[in-house]
Amino acid sequence: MWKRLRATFGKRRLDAELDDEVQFHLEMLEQEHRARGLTEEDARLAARRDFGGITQVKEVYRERRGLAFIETFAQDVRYGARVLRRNPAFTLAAVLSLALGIGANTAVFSVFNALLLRAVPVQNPRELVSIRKTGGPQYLSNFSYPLYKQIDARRDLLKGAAASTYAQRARITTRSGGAAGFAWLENASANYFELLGLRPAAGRFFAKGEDTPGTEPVAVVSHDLWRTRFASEPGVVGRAITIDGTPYTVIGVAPAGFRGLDTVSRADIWVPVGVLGAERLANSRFNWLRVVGRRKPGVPLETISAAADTIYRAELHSKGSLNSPWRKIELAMRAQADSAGAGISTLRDRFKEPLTILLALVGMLLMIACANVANLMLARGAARRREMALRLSIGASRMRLVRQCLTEGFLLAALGGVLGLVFAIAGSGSLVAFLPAGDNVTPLDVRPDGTVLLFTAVVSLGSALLFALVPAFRATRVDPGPGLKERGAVHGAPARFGLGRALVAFQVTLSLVLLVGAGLFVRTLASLRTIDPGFRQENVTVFWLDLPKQYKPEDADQLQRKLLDRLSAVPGVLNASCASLGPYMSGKASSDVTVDTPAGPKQAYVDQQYATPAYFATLGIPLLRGRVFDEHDKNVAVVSELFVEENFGREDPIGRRLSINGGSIIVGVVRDVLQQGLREKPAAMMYLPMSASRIPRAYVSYQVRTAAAPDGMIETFRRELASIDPIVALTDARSLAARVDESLMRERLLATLSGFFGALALALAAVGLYGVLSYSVARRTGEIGVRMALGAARGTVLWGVIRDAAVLIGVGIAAGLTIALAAARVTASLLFGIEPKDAATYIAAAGLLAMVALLASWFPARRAASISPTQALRHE
Amino acid sequence: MPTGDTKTDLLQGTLDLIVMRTLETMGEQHGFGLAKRIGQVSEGALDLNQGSLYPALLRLEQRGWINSRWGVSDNNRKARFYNLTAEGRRRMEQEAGDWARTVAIMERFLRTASE
Repeated sequence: MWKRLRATFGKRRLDAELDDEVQFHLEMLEQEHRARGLTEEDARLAARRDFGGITQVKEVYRERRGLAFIETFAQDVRYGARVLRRNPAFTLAAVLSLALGIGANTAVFSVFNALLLRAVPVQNPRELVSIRKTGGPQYLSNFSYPLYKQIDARRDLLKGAAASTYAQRARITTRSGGAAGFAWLENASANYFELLGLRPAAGRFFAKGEDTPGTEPVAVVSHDLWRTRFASEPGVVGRAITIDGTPYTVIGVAPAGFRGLDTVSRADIWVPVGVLGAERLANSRFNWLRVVGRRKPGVPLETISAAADTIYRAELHSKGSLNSPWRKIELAMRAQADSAGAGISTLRDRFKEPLTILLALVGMLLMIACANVANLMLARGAARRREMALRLSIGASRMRLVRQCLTEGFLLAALGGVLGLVFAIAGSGSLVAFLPAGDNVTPLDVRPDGTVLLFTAVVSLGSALLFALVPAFRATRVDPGPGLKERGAVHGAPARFGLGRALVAFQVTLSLVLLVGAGLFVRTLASLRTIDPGFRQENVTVFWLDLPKQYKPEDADQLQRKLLDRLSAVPGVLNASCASLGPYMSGKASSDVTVDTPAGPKQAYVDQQYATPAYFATLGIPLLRGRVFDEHDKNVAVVSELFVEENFGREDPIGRRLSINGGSIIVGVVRDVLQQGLREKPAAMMYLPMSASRIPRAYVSYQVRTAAAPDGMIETFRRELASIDPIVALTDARSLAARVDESLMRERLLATLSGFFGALALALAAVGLYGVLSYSVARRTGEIGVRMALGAARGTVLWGVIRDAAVLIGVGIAAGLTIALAAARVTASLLFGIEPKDAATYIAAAGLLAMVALLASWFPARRAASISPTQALRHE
Repeated sequence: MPTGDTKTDLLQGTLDLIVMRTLETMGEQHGFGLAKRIGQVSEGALDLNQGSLYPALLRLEQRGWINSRWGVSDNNRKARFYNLTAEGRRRMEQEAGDWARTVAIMERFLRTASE
């Protein structure tokens, strides 16, 4: 073995030695023959005859000597590179096709990986499960502290469970009197870090019992925060830090790279749950904790889900009446455990399906690209028959030639893969633009990591096998005799090219599927965009205020009034208002209310919202009847259309009484608004004056409508705010249009990408068809020439080629329609306003494909028709 | 096109034995000497291409049954000399024994068939 290894690398010296040996042998033989009386010439010939085939002996010797595989591989690679260089057009076409296919796959996979696969940097991420409630609104999906403790107690199923909250903004100061900054704060149970198996970069984590209310407030900071706010000094342990006005002691630093369990948001500081007070902890109605656990080996997720659900239901049933509508929602929810190895993410739920579909689509695109390259290789294989014949005749084995061709294929795939990776890195950045932005949303890190690189390599290799294997065998199936005798164009039986045609039909099929997908998703997006949400979203900015905890309600009230006055006075601002909720401003509030209808008092459970009078004008919600409230109204209400429909039918609601706020009179009716997203149905709504509400001013949002696009205005708003009170900050300021867009992220992602892939597929299929037909025409030049010489009209020839193509296209489309119909069912939940079997889309897609394909076949057809018979025959 | 492989296939196992035996009898020898001796002993019955010795010698050397060194031939030419190793000697005796047994069994069959 060792000798073999050495032989591979000491090749030249060993070759020289063998030469010497053989030379000696031959000379001795020569000598002998001359001693017997032959002439020098004859002696030499006789010696060679005795020895046998010198080259062959050397070949066999060498093959046996080295690690033959590596040697021949290196040889093949060098030869293949030369071949590729000599055919730049072919190489370029093939590499580009592959790069597009592989690049698209890698780009989509990077996002898939970052969102769904990449493990959080904790110990044994596979064991982690996140337990939450599904089947209801997001804000009810967490657990209360008592429920969490009950889940934690199930040590038969879990090694333990920890709880944490969503990261929330907190104001921190690291030096007394120092500048305040903001950080993202999570409350966590004492065993949080321990459960995750992390080791502190400095100091320690929470001790058992340190999350009991009343203990010294301590905090753990993230590695990043340590770097930015404490300059990574080792003395951070024991330092004081003020969080929202309360002093804490820093006890430790989390390891580098850990930013909490959320895939997208980050956490900077962790404090124990106990700091919120005993009352909060004991409250079983407060659903504020995300629960994460480590499951014991062999325990399936369903068991954990069932156990958590039992705990949840037991708690539900032990509380008061089961009849209020709140209850109904809660009863409809169930607890569920999911694998949390890749972190907890609400994004994941929304994007898992679209991303999976995109991966499938992009896989099809790659197959189309591979089919193209396969066809290219088949064509070239036919052109290299002489070369193959020659090599076979001098003794190369067929397997060797096949290996050679395969190596060329792998070279192409490698080049395509590298270029594709470059495309992907460039492209995945823009892919991420589809994902939500916001204050605490870290852009997904889609830089290629090990998994992505491995994926690219596997995909490249797989493609190479796909497109190179069969052509390699085809190319080497050559009979050396006739192969050598051929000159000029190759005369193969048409059946030999059946594979090429089948590949093109296959491309057409897949292209149709992609086009249908693109059509469905684009139309979904279009349908959603045409929905009238009930308000006008252009030029509206929405933001919140970050009030320090010490702000008294009266001061907050004043601040609100002053701010609205100031904002309204800014040039360019049309309206300014604030509201407790609003479209795309997350959250929902509802109340029981008694409505004084003509038919008598009616109980209703209605969504409610507090707003200042300018709200309706700011959002452009049209007033249908009556009036909106003004500054001085206290006990009035404005209701939505649906409210009227549900409670008053055709009767006029104006002047009627509602029991809310100690009695309010309905003064106006406005149009319905889609509060929670374009796919939702509107709900009955009542609007109440902000002045009558007792909502902490920290939770209201502000809306400003400007005459023109609000881009530069946010700074102006900040300045106005600062001039009233500099310690209050403006947060999460974004345009309403951006938020609406964000709610359509999935649809936008699907529509854009599937459209892009569909267009690419169309182009690739057209190119493939063009190539195959051109080649076929070129091959049959002689035959066509003969036919034309015998009197066939140019039109007939043209029609013949087109008919040929039409058959291919027809078969491809038929197969494509079948597959698309079956596959489209999978997408049903993602569509809107359109059925998976929407006939118009399919017909349009098929029509577009047929048109483009026929156009692509027009050129070779025309070339066939313009063959001059005399030239063609001479060409023979 | 015949590559000489079919002939060598048959002789491969036996060629090894022949070479080793020849080395044992003659002592250290170079390729040419071996070829000549083999031709003599077989009285021309073994019509092998002399060149095919070399891959066989390589194989034997890779297995460690023979080893080689560069030296000077009788007529002052540089040549590579081969000789048997201890391991090679052991293997040869073993293979020779196997061969003899095979021959004996075949003889029995062939004798009984013709009787």
